[in-house]
Amino acid sequence: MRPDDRKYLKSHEWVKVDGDVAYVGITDYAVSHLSDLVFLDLPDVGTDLMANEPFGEIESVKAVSDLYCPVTAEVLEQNEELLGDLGILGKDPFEKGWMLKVRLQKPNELNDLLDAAGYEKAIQEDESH
Amino acid sequence: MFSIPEKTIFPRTDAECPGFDVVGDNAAVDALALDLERRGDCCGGISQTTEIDVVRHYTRLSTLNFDIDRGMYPLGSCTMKHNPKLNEAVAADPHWAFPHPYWPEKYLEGHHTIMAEIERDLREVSGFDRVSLLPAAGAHGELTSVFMIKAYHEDRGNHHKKIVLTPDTSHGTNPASAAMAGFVCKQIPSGPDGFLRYEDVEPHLTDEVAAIMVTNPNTLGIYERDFTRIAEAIHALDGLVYMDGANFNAIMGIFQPGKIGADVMHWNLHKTFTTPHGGGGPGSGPIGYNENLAPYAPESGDPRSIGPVKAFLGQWGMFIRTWCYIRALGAAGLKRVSEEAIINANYLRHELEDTLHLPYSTPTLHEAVFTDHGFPNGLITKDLAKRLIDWGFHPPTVYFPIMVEGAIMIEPTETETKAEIDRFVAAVKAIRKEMDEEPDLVRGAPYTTIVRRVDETLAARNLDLRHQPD
Amino acid sequence: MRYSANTPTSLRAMLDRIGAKSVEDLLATIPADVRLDRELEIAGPMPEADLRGRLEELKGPRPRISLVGGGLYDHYVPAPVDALAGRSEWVTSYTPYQPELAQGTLVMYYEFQTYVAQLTGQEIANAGMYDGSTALSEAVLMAARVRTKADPVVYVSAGLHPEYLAVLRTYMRFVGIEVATVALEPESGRTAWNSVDAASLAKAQAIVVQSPNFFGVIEDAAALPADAFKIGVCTEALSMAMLAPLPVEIMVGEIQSFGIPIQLGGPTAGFFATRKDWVRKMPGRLVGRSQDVDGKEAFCITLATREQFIRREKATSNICTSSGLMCLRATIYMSLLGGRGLERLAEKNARTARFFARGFEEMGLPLVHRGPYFNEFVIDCSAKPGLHDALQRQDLILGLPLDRFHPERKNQYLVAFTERHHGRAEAILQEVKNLVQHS
Repeated sequence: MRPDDRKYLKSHEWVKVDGDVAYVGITDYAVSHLSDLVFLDLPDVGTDLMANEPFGEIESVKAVSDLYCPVTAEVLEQNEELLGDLGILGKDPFEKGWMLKVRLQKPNELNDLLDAAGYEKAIQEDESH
Repeated sequence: MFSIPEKTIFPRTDAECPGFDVVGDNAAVDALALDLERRGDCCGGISQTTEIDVVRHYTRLSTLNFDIDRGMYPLGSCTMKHNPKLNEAVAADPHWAFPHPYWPEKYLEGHHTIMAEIERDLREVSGFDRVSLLPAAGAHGELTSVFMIKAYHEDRGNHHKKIVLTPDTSHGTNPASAAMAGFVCKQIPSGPDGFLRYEDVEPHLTDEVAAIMVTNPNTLGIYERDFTRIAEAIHALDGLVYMDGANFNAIMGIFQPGKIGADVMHWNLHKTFTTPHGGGGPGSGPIGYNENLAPYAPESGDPRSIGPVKAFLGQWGMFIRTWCYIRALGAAGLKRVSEEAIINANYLRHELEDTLHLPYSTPTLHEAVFTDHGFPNGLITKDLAKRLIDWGFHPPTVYFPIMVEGAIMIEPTETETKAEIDRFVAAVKAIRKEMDEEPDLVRGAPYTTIVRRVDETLAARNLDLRHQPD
Repeated sequence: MRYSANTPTSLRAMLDRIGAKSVEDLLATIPADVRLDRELEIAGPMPEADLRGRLEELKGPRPRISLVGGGLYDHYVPAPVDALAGRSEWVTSYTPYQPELAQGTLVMYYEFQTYVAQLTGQEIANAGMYDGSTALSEAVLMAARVRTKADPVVYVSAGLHPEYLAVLRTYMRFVGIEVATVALEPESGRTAWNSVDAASLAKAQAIVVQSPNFFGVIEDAAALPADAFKIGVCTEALSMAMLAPLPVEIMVGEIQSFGIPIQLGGPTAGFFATRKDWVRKMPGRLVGRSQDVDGKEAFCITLATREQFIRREKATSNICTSSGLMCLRATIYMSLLGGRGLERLAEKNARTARFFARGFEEMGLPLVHRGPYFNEFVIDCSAKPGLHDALQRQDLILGLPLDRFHPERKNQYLVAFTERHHGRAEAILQEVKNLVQHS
């Protein structure tokens, strides 16, 4: 079971609220499908992100995947440690592997997102296709 | 075959070596002062060695390449066929190779005659009203075409037409070219039989559609059955039809795209017309187009023209090769090229149908796409490709088209003999057997090359794109 | 049929095996109303000897001496370049997608990337573009990816090659980037950057400067707007062997001068160099050094995720087949001459041009611009308006008449000099002198 302290998107991103800020990252499931990661492109600090719009890209040798932002938010910080070592994603995608620290603009949006159980169900449906 | 392991030319800096002397001395000239600020670093450290060293270096490097002259190179969609020697000899003739496009016309008459003749022949073989020879390669021809399509719509006030439709079988260059002209791409899945069905296009037929880009026959080798009907529907919306001519090798003398609904199309002279691929170019990507697009063409001279897409006159060196090829074959020969390419591909498909999984049973023309479905022991398309190398063949195109999982795309072309195709088929069958009996042998291939599987992840993570002097 | 691999017997055997009566059975998916109902009308077939005979008939006159440059230069092509680059292992191989079977081509591209970076003084270079004109257009498109918040305008020096400018206008038209030109100072022939306010240049997508420019004048690096995003262009690669690299963010140009015949301007090859930080924004193919599974040095295409076959409509460019064989020629050429050989050749070119400049001025054909030049400059023939045509009757082409591109430059000729004119410089000059005296 994945951490219950946060919300998920079907496209495998998570958002975790911590006081008046939040962290955004991708799930272990996404990481397991992106072998041989080589590059992560994140938006600059100060950028305004729109819910369900691409905010960055993660690149493996033969594929590029868009990263979708679960919430409308402003970028406060990039995870510099992660940018220097994408291997962290493989080991700890939910804590050390956070990508962006953001300030939520529309906290109500969190209600539209999946919880851990809902996300689990979404993956299973995906797999059975 | 044995190869001498050859490294890069770096670092070779023989301080006493003057370099190839292109130019001698002339006291009256050499005495003049040079009033210029100089960089003074020997061109940033470009290496310095002797002629024999350079000759050996590039000769040895060349032996590390696989080439058509060595053996079958069945890359699907790439049309790796024999490059006639005559074409190379003629193109290298200084009379044809040295002229400058800014020379007065009297020195270029022969060149212009040859260009006019291939323009005429390309019109005839395609059924288009006009031809532009200018684009530098296939993707450049696509770009020229979508620029013309954009100019057409702007001219007609169709500012709402922003969408270009592409089937999921299309080459990546199609959406990339459309994006460079400022269009938004919408991808349409092909139907269960491997071609684009009218009913799947219909829901997308809105007034916003500027064009559709269709490869025909498509990248599965299948004739697009609904092509004409789709073209009519697009035209009814004042949209345009671009046909990707990458697979023109299959249709010469069989149908004319310009007469069955396409408005514009590109050729790859380095596919159908045997100009060499050269390890990644140069290509040449002329386009054929109908009268409705004529004002927008690069050479129209009309104020509505998109303007030139390349400096000078186009890839002359490829035009003269193309001229030689067309003249060597004539009308009947060109048709036989397509027919024999289709026979070879169908034979190969037939012989491998029981060995490899065929995702679509629809009849195909010049190529066949299989998959790795059913490979044992976790082996995949890549393993078959790498093992084929040890059996003396260049692998087919793999993992394309992208909507076919584990695609193995084989195009033998008309210039392979039945015997060579039989050897290829036998090699695939033998490897398939190895997959059952010695999976690790296949997984570890190739063994016979100068290097084995290359770590592409390392290359992307630790970018090393140039030699750095110590 | 020539080039056909199979005999009627083997074709029959294949059809039998498939179970087809004839090839028509294999074309059944093509609707009848689509099929061409007549034979094509195309001349041929011609046997090889007749074909070559026909080509001989098509050959017309050739000039004895050409002083035409203007973006394509008549440099000597050393025999080893033809011999080596003509090997079928280079000519008839494909883009190196299977690195195990293409180490030769991959190593060559790595050498090309290194040489271009060294010549341009940039950190990295790609494996080549179609030509200089398209390389420039792609450079401006890259600038737009790097500077997403800049004003959608590119300021282009009026010293840019007119055909490059025309191509750039085509590429910019549909992406909504305005192309504005910046005039030259008439006397020096250098770009008057101070005629546009510095803030506009700094906010623009990019500025474009060619050096030596189309009129042969070497631009003043110190006068370039410091805060702008600068794209440098060079159409005479040999000049880079001698002159200091331009202080620019992207350097592009044409490498035809290095072992590539002019062949009416195509195929040639473009180069593209920039900073390492922007590698993911670059168009074109890149080759990187890596290892194979045994830890042995090996090369492969890298960062292919930027390219159209993976990223499709979001690719950094639509480019696929580029100009590999021409890059090979340039690479062999540079290896053959070496850094010192290239520099020496550049000096000889520059001195030859000076020899002719002095000679022309003595004849009353002055240089139009006073700025420094490399191997090409503009002369004013107003005093001898019939000279160009008179020389042409003797198959000597006195450069490019500039009114072809710039109607106001009547009687101005752009003349270029290379090592081909070095050894017989006095004789060529004498020929011109004789006509000047008799006209």
